[in-house]
Amino acid sequence: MVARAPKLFVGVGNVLAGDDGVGVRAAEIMMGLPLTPDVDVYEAGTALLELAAVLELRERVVVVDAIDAGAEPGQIFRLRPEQIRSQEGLPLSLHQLGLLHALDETHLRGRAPGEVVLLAVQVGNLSGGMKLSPAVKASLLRLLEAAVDELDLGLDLRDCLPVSPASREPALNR
Amino acid sequence: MGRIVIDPVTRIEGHLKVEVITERGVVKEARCSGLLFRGIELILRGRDPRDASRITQRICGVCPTAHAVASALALDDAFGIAEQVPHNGRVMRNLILGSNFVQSHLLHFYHLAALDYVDVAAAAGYSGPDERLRQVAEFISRGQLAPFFPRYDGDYRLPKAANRAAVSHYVEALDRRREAQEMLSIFGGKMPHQMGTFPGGALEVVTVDKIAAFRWRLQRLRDFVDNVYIPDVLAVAGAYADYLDVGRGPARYLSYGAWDQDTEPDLTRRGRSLPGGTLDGTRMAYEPLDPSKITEQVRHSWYNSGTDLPPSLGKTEPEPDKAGAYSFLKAPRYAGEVHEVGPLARMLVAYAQDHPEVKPLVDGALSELRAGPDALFSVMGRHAARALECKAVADAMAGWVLELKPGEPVCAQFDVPEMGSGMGLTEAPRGSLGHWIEIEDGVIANYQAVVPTTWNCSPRDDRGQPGACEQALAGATVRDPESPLELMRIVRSFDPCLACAIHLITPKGHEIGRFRAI
Repeated sequence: MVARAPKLFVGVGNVLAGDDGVGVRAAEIMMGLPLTPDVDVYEAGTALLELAAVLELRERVVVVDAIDAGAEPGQIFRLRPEQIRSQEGLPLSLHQLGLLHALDETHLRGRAPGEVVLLAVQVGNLSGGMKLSPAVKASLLRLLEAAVDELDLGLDLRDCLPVSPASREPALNR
Repeated sequence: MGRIVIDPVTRIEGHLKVEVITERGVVKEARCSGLLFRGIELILRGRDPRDASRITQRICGVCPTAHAVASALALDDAFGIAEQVPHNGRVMRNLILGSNFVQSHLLHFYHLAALDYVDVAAAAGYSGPDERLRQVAEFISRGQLAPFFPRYDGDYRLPKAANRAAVSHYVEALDRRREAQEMLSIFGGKMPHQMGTFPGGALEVVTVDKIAAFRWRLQRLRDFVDNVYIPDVLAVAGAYADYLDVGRGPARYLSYGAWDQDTEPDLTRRGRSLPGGTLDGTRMAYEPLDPSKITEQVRHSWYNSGTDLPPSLGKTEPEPDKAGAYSFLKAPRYAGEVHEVGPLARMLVAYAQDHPEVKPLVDGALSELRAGPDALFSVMGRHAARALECKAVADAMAGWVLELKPGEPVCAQFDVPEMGSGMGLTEAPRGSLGHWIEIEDGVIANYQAVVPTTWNCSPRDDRGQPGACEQALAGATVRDPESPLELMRIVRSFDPCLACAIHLITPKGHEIGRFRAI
């Protein structure tokens, strides 16, 4: 096995279900950034059943996922696993149980990761095929900045993403 | 009269609702509904055909690998290159799919189904020498059983020692699953959505190192399957022998066959290590596979497209308000009849043909259980068949991996044709999987996927015949409607690739409880 980086970014979601794919899109953008070797990026899709192996023994994990909390589309929530657990039964996150399951597996094997933070984006449209809705797409930069901050990556996204000439904002053409 | 509804809270990859009407504790009628319209067919239209094996993997978070294989087979056919798939490409596809089977079957028994029969709470307070049991005891002491250990009170029958061993194996199986996943990634490349299978063959370069890494993991897995998994399943089947008589279903079985052994372009004549065909269980009558007998009926499905069409001519046009419909799943039928798919179907179809590896495995298990072949048409029959198949596949892979030829080609060259059509039939861990593609002007004009859970959890068909799982539920006894574990055991034995939960509803429609299942 290759030595694993202490920090981990995980993107979760179904790219066939519109905004549900936001975590996957975020992971794809992360993979294109000039990252240092102390961070890994993992795109899980909806295959959360085998996520435990990836989470084990990491010091810091950020999971980016879609959520339906009845808020404004594109709104970003910062949650801890304990908060998801205490909400059990509510359709809070679309993949929350899979994530909790994977975390429980790491505990059972005595190899749980250190700090785990979930950044969850309120979805607007789940039937948009492979496209994100405008509100969720517009949240991507804030989402990535939050993730970079949580993982303490010391990156300024405005320096490393291509900039749109019109808006002078980083262009996330997804 | 009572009504019990099994409905999802989460969505690993789809929604399944099961609703039953009971009379004096016996299920009179069951309805399975798929509640998620995914529209993969609409997403694929107009795209480059080569995108299909990437995008169709996203249909399912549990069996992306089988979708990649089915798609590659359909594209081989449409591109006219099935005969040119190189030896290494064919073998690597078999190893990728085989690894997925081993991983998935272990996952299903230990981590999705076993807790219906094994009482994990019995490990509470354990302080003996078994490190794994101590981990479970520690986990329990933190008071966070849910959602990891969904549990019904009541019907746990394993003797204390066997129960404890099974809990320990539950933890050990986490490691073995991981090894199977690593094994898959050796020839599949990136996980979880592997890139290894491709039209024309496979993409990884074969090296001696990769063969050795695969064999090392496979050896440990075979040891676990032989000495832990199969004995555990037989112990559970022995303690719950009444479940050899519960959940029968239609007793007609279908397998497309899997694991190509040659590159014959006609899929129905291609040599496969598990054969395709159908078996009428009541007469133990086998018939070879004829894909032209596969149709999809939509009378009770929320679609307005034509009914009883072959999948290649099928359309996916939703009509959510359609009268009499109750599912987004269509009702696939073979020769107009309801068929069950999955490990039990594959093992029975192979058994009926005196398959040299499968026949002795099945006979051995039946003699251990002191039961005849018809006991296999049951909840425990499905679990036993899954375990035996896991062994058959793992054993076969030990031979296949040595057939790889380091340094030789892995994939055929091809051009995407302007026009073409293709069919890809294979088996996913949970049953028969078919992809059909039509290419026009160099892009996808139509794409249809008929997945295992569509066969097993289909709604009623045009003639009103209930689907396989609906039939398996009918007649079941539910002792406590507030804890309908008998129904969960039946539904779960099919390994439906859908996460679901149970809502209990009184006859007036008032919800009295909610239970989760994966």
